[in-house]
Amino acid sequence: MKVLFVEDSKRLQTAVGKGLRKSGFAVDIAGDGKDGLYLAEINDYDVIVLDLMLPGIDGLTILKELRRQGKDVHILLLTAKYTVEDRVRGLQLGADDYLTKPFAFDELLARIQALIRRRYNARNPLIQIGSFQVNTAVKTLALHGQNIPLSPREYMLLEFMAVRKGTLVTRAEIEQHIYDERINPNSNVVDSAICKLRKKLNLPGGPEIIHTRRGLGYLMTDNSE
Amino acid sequence: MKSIRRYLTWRLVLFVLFLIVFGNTLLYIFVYHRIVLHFDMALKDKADAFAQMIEQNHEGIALEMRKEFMPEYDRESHAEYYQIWSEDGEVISRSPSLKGRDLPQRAGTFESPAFWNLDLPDGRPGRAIGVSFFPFIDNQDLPLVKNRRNVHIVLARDSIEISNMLRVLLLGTGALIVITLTGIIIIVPRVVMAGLSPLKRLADYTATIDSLSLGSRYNTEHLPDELRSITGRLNELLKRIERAFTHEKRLTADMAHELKTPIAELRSLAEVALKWPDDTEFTNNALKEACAISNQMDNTVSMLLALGRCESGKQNISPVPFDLKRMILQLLEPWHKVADAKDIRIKCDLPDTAEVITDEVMLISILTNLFSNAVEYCPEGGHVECSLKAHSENMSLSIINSNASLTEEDLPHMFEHLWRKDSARSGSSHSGLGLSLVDGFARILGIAVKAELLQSGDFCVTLLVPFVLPEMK
Repeated sequence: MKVLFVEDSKRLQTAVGKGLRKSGFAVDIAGDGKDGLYLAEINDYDVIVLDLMLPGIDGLTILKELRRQGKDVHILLLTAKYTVEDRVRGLQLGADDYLTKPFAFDELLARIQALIRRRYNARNPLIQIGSFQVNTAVKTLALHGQNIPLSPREYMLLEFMAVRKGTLVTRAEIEQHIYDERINPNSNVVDSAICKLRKKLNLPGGPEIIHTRRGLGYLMTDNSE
Repeated sequence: MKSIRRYLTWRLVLFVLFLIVFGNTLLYIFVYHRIVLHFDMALKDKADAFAQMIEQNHEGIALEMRKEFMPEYDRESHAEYYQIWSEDGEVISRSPSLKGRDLPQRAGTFESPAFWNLDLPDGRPGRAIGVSFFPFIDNQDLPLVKNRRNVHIVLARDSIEISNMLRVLLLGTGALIVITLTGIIIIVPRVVMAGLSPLKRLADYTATIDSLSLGSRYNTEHLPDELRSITGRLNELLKRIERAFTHEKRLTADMAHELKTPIAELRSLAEVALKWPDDTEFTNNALKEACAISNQMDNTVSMLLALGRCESGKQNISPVPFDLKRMILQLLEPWHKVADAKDIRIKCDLPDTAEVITDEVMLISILTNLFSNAVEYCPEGGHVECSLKAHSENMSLSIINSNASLTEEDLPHMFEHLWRKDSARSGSSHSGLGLSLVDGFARILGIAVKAELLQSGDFCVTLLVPFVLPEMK
């Protein structure tokens, strides 16, 4: 899942960016409103965490502009402003959630996860794929109660495909949502990641879970075709 | 006076009541006197008539009166009375109605007759006239009359008619007072209430104004003239309150940002470091940042406390003599490195010596803030100039730097607490308190501060530093 974090404080960029990446998110960071708006316009993010007081273009203007362009990305406003009017104004302009500074990192994480579940209409953080169970709240993959170790990138790919179970996922979409601006994705990276994940999900004599559609993309299903 | 309505009502009722009672009393007295005067004139006319009928001749004094012309002195009911005495007290004549009884004897003259009230012999209330005069003497008898004698005459008649008229008058005026008073008691409070209703509307409207509706204003269109000026002043007051409230809100929001952002940074760094303790590189960086954040917050709080001391007059002053030129050079020294990194030229125009007597620590704080602002806000490749000139009573210190963003509109706000050109309040090295502190310390030290944009577009702050702290003069 890919998150855009628009915040002018370098320290918050470092801490929150690090925490989100460690939590299995691909994170793009913008330090001012102009860059934030640009990134939000050209990329398809699952969630945008948007500070209100930004140099260049303020957060509310970015929010209005994105909604005007018809972008339905989930936006969480983050700011030191605390009055009810501030919150109401932000929500009325189309924000999906609001968090005031200072905030607990775990709360930010939980709210981002909730917004992602809302985006994919998955109220339950547990996703069953055959005998496997993906827990999007604690970012784990389990088989009969036993956790299967996954690298953050593998988990990101797994969750991205799991929430779209039964739907074809293109390579471009995987690149968009799994890899942030720090990595220059190419076909080999995606193929390699799919291959690694497929190996971990393949049980001896069990059904194929990740299917390749040549020239189209990948499909995750419960059963073999 | 706790209620204008009660005050006006009572005062008006009492005042109008007094006027009515006083006016009616005067009217009663006037009418009473007119009636009595009229009655007395009639008595006097009768006394005149009697005087015409009394003659003195050589035989004595005689009353030439024909009873048929004056029947009122000889009837049983509603009779009138007269009695005539000679000066030696001899009764010359009395009316038959007296039936031998006497009237009380008092005497005036025809010019000034004696009038008095009395009880008539038949018990009715009456009024009498008494006059003394010399009776008429016929020319023929004049040589025969040896001793001319004075005569006293008293006429009396009942005054029931006057009493009745006066009673009616009294009742009439009393009834008039009662009716008027009732009307006043009913009408005055209503009139007062109606007159004060704009005040009530004003009070009701005032009660609806709260912190969320400070932008509202009193409508002066339908108000009486007396209240129009008051509401005009109230509108001006509301404007000032709204401005102060907006300023306060901005200050609170800025303060919240200044304190909440570093707290959020600190908390996020700590929580992420604790959540992934294996990432030692991040943990070490987080600890370094935590130190920087605590220093930054310490500076902000120290500046706020210093501003608080300035505004409450609790800032201690310790004036000492020192060389301002040396201080400027010392304080500018660390900024040369920063300036070089930004390709900024620093130029100084200072006299050989510039001794002043003032608080050294506070002046250092002022200059540190100004030099920091000049170098840090100067765009790359720009210039900073510092010039010090001696005048008769002070030294003018000008700090000029190239300007890339400030406008004339910014100048009035520059010394406000927490004001920053960047409304997003990005960056952590400036909190927007520096110039407020400069202004606060300068006031205490009697230093005039002026911020302006020069024609070249450069930003200039000028300080007029007195040679000696004004308090020491």
